[in-house]
Amino acid sequence: MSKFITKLSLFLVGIVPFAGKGGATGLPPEEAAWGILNEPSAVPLRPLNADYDNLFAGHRSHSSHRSHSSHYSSSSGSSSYTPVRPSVPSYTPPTPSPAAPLYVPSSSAASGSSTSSSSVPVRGAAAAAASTDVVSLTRAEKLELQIMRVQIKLTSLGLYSGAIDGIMGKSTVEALKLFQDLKRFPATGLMTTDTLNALGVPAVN
Amino acid sequence: MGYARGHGVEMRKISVRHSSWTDSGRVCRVAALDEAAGEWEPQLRLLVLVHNSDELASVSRLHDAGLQNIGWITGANLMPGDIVVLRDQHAFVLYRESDIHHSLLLTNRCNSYCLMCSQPPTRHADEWLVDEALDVIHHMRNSPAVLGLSGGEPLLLGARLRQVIEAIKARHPETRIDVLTNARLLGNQAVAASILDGLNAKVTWLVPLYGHAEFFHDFVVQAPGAFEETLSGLLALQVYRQTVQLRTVLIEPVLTVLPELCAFIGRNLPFIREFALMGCEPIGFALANREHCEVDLADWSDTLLQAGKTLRRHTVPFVLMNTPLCAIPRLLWPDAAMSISDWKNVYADECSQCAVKPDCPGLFAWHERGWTPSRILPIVELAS
Repeated sequence: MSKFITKLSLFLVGIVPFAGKGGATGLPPEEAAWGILNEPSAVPLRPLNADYDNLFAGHRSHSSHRSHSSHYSSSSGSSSYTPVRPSVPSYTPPTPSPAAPLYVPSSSAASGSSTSSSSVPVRGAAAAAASTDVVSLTRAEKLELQIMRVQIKLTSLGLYSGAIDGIMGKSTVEALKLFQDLKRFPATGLMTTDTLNALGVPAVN
Repeated sequence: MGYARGHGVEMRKISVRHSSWTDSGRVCRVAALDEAAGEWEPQLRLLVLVHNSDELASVSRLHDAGLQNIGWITGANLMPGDIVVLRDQHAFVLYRESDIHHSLLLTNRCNSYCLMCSQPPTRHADEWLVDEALDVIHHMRNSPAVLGLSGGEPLLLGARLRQVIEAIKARHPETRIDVLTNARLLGNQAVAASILDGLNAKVTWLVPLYGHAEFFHDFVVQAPGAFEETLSGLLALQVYRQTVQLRTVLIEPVLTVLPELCAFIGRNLPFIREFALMGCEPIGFALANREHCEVDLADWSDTLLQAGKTLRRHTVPFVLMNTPLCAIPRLLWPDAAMSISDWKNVYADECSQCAVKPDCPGLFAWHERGWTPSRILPIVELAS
């Protein structure tokens, strides 16, 4: 393996002058990829939010709702903002040996599969659903949450002193413009993706 | 209201100062100042970790601007993502992301009274522990690989146990759930149905069995009839196609019948995923019942070898836990698991010269107060 790597790096060393002649822009994609591998510091940066994450980039103010229709993206009901970042598993139970006995009586197998396939909620589950607050937010609620997060951030930065109410009012727009001005962004007063990324606020979607 | 460690639950208590408007006794998530805006949700309670008066003032401004569910906290050894509950200028850390093993204590009550119980049960009504556990589940910002549900006996909660499992599944669908239970109440069909009917969360049931006949098992758990109930519970779990890990603790009354217990499992409970043989924690009732619980595993190596042989013959997967390698026969070393908890992998002074220390599960952190599972013998040379 190490031999292979040595050969590979020798190969890449050979390639570099070639690549230089062509100019960085004219590189075929394969060689560009090799170039990234060659360059340890060239970590591809991923922004906090991509444009498609940001549902409310065009949202102007609380009173104007015309932007909503144009920006209605396909955020389906599956979107709940449950953060799922599984941590590294620490303990892996030993895998059963292949000859492990798998005695499955047919009757119980049938009942087992029927119970698991039927989605009839039992009492416990119903109670659970009522109390757990994993909810798919409506679009209006998402907007309100995103505005509140932006207001929280702007307040922390000392740019906004109004109420944190989830309403894109005049003072919130002014604070956004102020922030955009400081960052040399176009002072639109909109929650553009660049603005959200500069604020460090994840888009609600 | 008191805090204890459950089976596999250890509680950190940290001295803190916090915002005056933050309720004591409510579960909160600790957040870094620059992440608070992104983490804020209306139904969460956030405590922003502040380091100076400027940061404190900036959190106060948020509160003044109308946010009720955000406060500040300051204290050493707090980490963003910690889930804490405040009481008397202290924060009890109920969940910490960087821990290797995560567990929620659901109750302190139990219907058994085991000789070596690491956490003696109480009789107090402690339903609030379930509410708190649900709150912790909602406040966790990422999903652990495995989340243990511990007690006491979680089945005493009945349908509320199901509620906790469903809450984990809804909020953390990737998380595997380990329920530590004696399974006795699952022998009751109504209870089994209320908890297992239609259950499709990723649950493993960790059920202890201490003998192959009722006399042995009932003596260890100090509860007449427990053996029959646990067996019906295990069969109910099998009917519902649940994953079961059987466990036993290597104390003297168990070691006496261990090969027979292994044969019993191989013949009668072939559906289990694995069988875990665990060293005894020198804590709780084990200290009171020292004459039954303190064993030198080196004296029982023939028994352990025979048990391993029997389990292999019946193709029951097994694993040895909580024992250092020097306490068990070398033939069984491949079956020893590194311990899964943060406070189990400690080592004695003698261990520094040991050749197999990197592979060794080590000792319980509190072995100094009790005893070691055997004489600690550094393995100096590894015969191939």
